[in-house]
Amino acid sequence: MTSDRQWEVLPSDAREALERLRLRPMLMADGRVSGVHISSHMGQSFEFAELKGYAFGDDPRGIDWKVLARTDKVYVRRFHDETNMAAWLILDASASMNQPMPDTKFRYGASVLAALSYVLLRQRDEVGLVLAHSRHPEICPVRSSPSHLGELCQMLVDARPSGPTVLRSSLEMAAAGMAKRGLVVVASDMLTAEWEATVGALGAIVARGGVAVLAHVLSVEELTFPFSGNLVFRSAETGESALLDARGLRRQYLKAISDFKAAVAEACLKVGVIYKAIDTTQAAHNQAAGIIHAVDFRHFKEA
Amino acid sequence: MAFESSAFLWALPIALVPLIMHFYMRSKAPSVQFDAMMFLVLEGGSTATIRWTQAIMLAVRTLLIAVIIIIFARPYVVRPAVVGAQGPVSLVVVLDDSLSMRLGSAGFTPWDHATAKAMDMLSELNPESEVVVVASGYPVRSWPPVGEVWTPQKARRHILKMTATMARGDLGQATKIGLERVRLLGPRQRRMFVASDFRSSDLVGMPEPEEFHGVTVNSFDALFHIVPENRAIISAVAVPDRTVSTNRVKVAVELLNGSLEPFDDVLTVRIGLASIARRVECPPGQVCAYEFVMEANERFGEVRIPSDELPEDDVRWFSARSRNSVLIVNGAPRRQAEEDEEFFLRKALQLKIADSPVLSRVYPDDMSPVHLAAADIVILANVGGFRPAQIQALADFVARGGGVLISAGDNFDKITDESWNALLPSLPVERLFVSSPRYIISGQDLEQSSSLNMLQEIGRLLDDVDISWLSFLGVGWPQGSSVLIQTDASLPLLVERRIGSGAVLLWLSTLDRDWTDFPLRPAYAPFVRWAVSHLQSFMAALGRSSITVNDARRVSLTTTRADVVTPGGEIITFKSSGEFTQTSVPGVYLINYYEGSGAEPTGSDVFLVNTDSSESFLARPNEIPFADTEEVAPVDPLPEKKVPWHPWLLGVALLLFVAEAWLRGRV
Repeated sequence: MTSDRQWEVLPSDAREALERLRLRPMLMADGRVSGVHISSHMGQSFEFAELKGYAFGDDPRGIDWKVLARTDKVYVRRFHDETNMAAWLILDASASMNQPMPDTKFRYGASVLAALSYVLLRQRDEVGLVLAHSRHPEICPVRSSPSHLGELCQMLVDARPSGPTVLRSSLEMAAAGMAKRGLVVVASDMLTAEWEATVGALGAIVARGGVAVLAHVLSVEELTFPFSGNLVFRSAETGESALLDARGLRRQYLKAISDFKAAVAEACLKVGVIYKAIDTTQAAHNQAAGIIHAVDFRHFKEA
Repeated sequence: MAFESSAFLWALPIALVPLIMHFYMRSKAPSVQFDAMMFLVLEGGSTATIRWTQAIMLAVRTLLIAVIIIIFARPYVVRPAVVGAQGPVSLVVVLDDSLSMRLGSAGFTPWDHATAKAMDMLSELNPESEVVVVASGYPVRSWPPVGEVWTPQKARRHILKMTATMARGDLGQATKIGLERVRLLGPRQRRMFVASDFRSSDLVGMPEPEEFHGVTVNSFDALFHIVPENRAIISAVAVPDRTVSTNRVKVAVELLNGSLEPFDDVLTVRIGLASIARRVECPPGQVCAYEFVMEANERFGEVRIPSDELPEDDVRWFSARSRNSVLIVNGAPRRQAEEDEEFFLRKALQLKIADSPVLSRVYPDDMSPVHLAAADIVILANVGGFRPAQIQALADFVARGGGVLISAGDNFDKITDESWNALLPSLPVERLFVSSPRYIISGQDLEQSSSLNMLQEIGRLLDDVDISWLSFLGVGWPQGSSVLIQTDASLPLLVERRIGSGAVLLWLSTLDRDWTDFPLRPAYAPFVRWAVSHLQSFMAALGRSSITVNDARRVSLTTTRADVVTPGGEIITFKSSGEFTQTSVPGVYLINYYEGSGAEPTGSDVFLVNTDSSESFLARPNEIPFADTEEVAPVDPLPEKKVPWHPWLLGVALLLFVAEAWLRGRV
């Protein structure tokens, strides 16, 4: 069931801005239908794969005449097939993502993932969504139909972040359900003691031939610590609270959060996960475009 | 504790301000949802740690404010009544640390009781009092030096380090010194505390009662808890045995039985390897005498009884040399014995009387330091041909207390070697003929009147002596030379030269019949024996026999160095003559003389250190002389002294301030 509220996470201006974008992670996709990605199978496309000695039964249209002229041997040109790709978008729906009010990290992450799903569905890729907020995350299975975008957006709008961060188990479940190589994008603040295990699970997906992206969503408050005076700090996830002198702690905190970001980025780099720090002061679709560019840039570097 | 400005204490509730502020701020402080709290707490910490730290910091802040308020209230304490009830005084503590204070009883000695009492008294004294400590053991000592004073605390520390000595006591002298010292102290109440066992012998020489005027005296009888029982060897003397002609001595021992029980135990006398152990009896309260005849094969011996509560006086050492040893160096031996000087000297010295010396003879070429080490007196009979080393050895022998009698003669007249100047006042220059002179005794320099009297007796006998020739010495005699007998023509006949601790007697005629008929006259034997006795007296004056604990013993050094070996094995080296004062332990002290860097001693000497027998008598007067006179001169009470606390509290506040700053950095 959908409503107009679904577009709260993907307004029309965002859709317009994203219309011309394509996400090409350049992995050997194992899609079911024709698409924009290189297939692991041979077929008809412009993506040259190899030269093969002619054998009986090969299509004579594929004979490379230039090679025949130079070497007096008959070779057939082979091309990759083109297919679509499966992409899993995983959003951290723990309680820590539910701040600051009202533009929460969760809401921002949802917008980024909605923008990504819009781009992916437009290129006929299959997109699935996981909302990780408990041991049994909400899952929207992969589909490639254009109408699937509405379902995804509706699910994102309806979700209410709560509970502890359980990204690792959510990731493992998603990976288990993802039979084919594809793309996994995780949007999370990673404010959990298990963040290293989460990055490790993403690394396992990369090791299987997939592409994994970590969109690190931290609020402006968490990045700049604009507090002063004595404040009672409360953690929604753990329930801890403490009356602290914010000004006295600022320098120490900023160093700690900076070190944390650097540590997460370094851990991602080690296992081949694409790390993208999300700037929540920018429009969400711009950050989605940034993720797309990061994936393309990665492909460009590897090429 | 009291306060000078107690009004400030009303401000104490201000100390609760941090607590109130904390809870107020906690309730009013905005709440922020913030899930990155893991970066707000310190490494390894938690919010629980933060809460604990905040609680401690709150307590510190509360305390800090409270302490500051209390500082403004200027707290103080009044000294406890025990110390503060009396004002500072000038006190002299006279402690008897003589041997008798070591008398043991049930594990405690009078010294223990005396020092404990003194410590108690000092601890109750006003800390600003001036204290001087005097010890009555010989020699009497006082601390600190004149012109300085100690606090009671410092005096206590000093007394803790003191121990009872083995010396005799001189309580009278110590008390006099204490009175002098207390009168030199400040114009406060003057007090004297005397702790002793107050034996009768201690009280000799005590100041008269009027001398204590203005001084409050407190006494403590340290023997109060102890039964004064003691058994001791109070005398041991070896004398030549008149009954036999061998080298035996008769050891006379006196035993004091100062106990209530009869003494019936073994008394042991030992001289070298020879020893006698005999069971003896002595009634209580008596001094019993015993005699033991035994071989004197060593220079000293010891007498011992089983140890009692005062073991230091249960053993005594004595000199065991039976007779003097005289070495005759025969410079002109004759075929006819009755023409030889040795013949006449032997006749004169070996009369059948008890104290005849042991004679030995050697010829000039053979004489060595070995012969000198065994001799007390050396007689050079007409000797002229000594080597310089022999002369120097003789001079060293004299310097250490030995005696040399030199007689003139043909050989003596030929002496021209300058090295003889080490012994003689001057070298002989000519032989003079005299005709029946008369003799004048001029030995007024003799230190012992008995020796002078004897010489004057001999001088009367000399009138019969006809001396024909005299050897005449050159001029320029060194200091210490004197003429004892001269002729009526002022020609020296008997000359004495003092060298070091000994002396040389020079008879400027012959001791045989060559130049005189002296050997045939009645004066001969008395003169020779007098000369030997006179020379021997120098060695006796050195104290070869016993001295008492803490007496000084002169070490006369003519060699390069001398080592004094104490009974405990400690070695004290002398490189010049001096007084040896470390005689605090009874026993046998050995002096080894060394020449150059040689390891073997060229000579040795012993002296004995015994306890003073007066310390063995524990008899006491019926009444202790020092009655406590504290009632006569009551103590002036002083106003209570306020000891401010705010300097301490300032330190506490500083510490709390530092702690608060540190905790603030942790939260």
